[in-house]
Amino acid sequence: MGEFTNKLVVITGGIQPNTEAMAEKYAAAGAKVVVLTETEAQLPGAVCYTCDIGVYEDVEKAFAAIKADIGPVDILIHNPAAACGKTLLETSYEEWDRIIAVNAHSLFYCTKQVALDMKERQTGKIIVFSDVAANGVVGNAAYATTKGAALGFTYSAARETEKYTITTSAVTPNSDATAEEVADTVLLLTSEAGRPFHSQAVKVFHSKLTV
Amino acid sequence: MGKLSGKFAVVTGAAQGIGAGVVKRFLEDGVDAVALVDLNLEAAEATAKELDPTGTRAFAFKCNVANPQDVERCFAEIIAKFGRVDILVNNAGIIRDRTIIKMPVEDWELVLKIDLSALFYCCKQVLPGMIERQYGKIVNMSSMGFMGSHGQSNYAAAKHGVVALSRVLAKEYAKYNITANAVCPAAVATDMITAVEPELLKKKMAAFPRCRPAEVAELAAVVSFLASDDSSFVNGERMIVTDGRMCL
Ligand SMILES: NC(=O)c1ccc[n+]([C@@H]2O[C@H](COP(=O)([O-])OP(=O)(O)OC[C@H]3O[C@@H](n4cnc5c(N)ncnc54)[C@H](O)[C@@H]3O)[C@@H](O)[C@H]2O)c1
Repeated sequence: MGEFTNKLVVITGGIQPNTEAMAEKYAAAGAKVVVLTETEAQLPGAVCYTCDIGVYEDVEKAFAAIKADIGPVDILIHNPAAACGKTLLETSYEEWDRIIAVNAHSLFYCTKQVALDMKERQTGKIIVFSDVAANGVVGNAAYATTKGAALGFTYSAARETEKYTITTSAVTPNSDATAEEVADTVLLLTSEAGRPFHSQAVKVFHSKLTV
Repeated sequence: MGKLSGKFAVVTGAAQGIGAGVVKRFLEDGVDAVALVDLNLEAAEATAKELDPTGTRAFAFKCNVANPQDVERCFAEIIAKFGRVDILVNNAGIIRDRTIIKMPVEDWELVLKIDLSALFYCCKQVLPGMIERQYGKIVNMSSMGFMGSHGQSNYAAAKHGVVALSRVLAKEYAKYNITANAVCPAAVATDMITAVEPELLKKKMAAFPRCRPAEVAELAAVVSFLASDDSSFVNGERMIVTDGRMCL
């Protein structure tokens, strides 16, 4: 019996390489893994629930279904990655609003569904995916902005959740980190050994200097 | 000749508080004209009249910066009147504090709209002209709240988003001689703060080295620096203005 045995892990943001790696590692450690995907999908080691995380009613429904089907969430991993690959001027209002909804609103929408249970059970782990893009990039304006918003959200959520022994941290991967390395970091942060990283943004990359 | 003479500026949320202080400072620094953009037109007009009794340099414009169509209309009016915008100060902002568990969805979304998306809407109106003229200064009001506080998940997300957006603007538009920076005050002595009961205020201010909030003029001076050519090589910064309370 490891510390992840029978724990329920929910990962938002659909199937991406680092989500595949996380799902595999959590499943191997005995956890039950749910991935929220925008359209129907399948992933070995995980159960996929269809949900548009940028729409509040959808999020409410999905989390209610997960709770009824499996139980309360132990570990929530926010990994939304909507992007349009455009500069600020090229980005339309619609593209901007959609990326804000998927990458920023979803952090609040999904956390809201699990926070009360975590508070009552006095346990829980929340991880938010930021990105080094939050330090500014050319040609992904909306995405980079939401990855900054992710940090502000994390720091506030950490303040609110710490008295319920919930650990809340962010990960800031760079493209030179492999999906394996990112997943290993997330598993560390959501383990008991990860508690000292509460309220921190942990960088996962090899070479880049950022402040 | 002030350091902003020859320049045309827009300040959002300028009817009162920090925005009004920035307008006052811009006028002292010799700006040719400044637009006070605010949801509250009456208050913006009164502030414009108070700060520029001649009515030749400060002009009020009604606008809801959270509505892109209204922003387009308003900036078109400003550009028609001024001919151009050299300086944009994105200052309008609100707070709606609640814990995540208790916060209504509307309060989350409203704060993200006004405190973050509005900056995108406003920047989009002025950037094409700035690029064409190879000159522009954008100053975005963030807050020390970007590092997160209890009950401010919406505000922290928006204000940290403002820091990231400023860096994006810096990296994307520096080559056109446009700078964009964020300003992060902690407490500023606006009505909001001075209305706090004196004993409570004293307690809160004990964490600050000089045991007081920033004066509006002290913040306006920083904005003016970032809006002037003195800051020509300062770009994508988050200027923390907390008297040393927060050092990052
Ligand atoms: N006062 C502080 O201590 C403090 C500290 C840190 C950051 N800030 C930031 O500084 C900025 C100004 O703060 P303030 O204290 O002067 O606030 P304030 O409430 O005194 O003034 C804000 C102004 O913005 C206008 N406004 C609000 N919503 C608007 C909308 N949708 N469209 C157009 N105008 C709108 C209001 O009418 C008002 O005139 C805000 O962005 C705030 O987050 C303030």
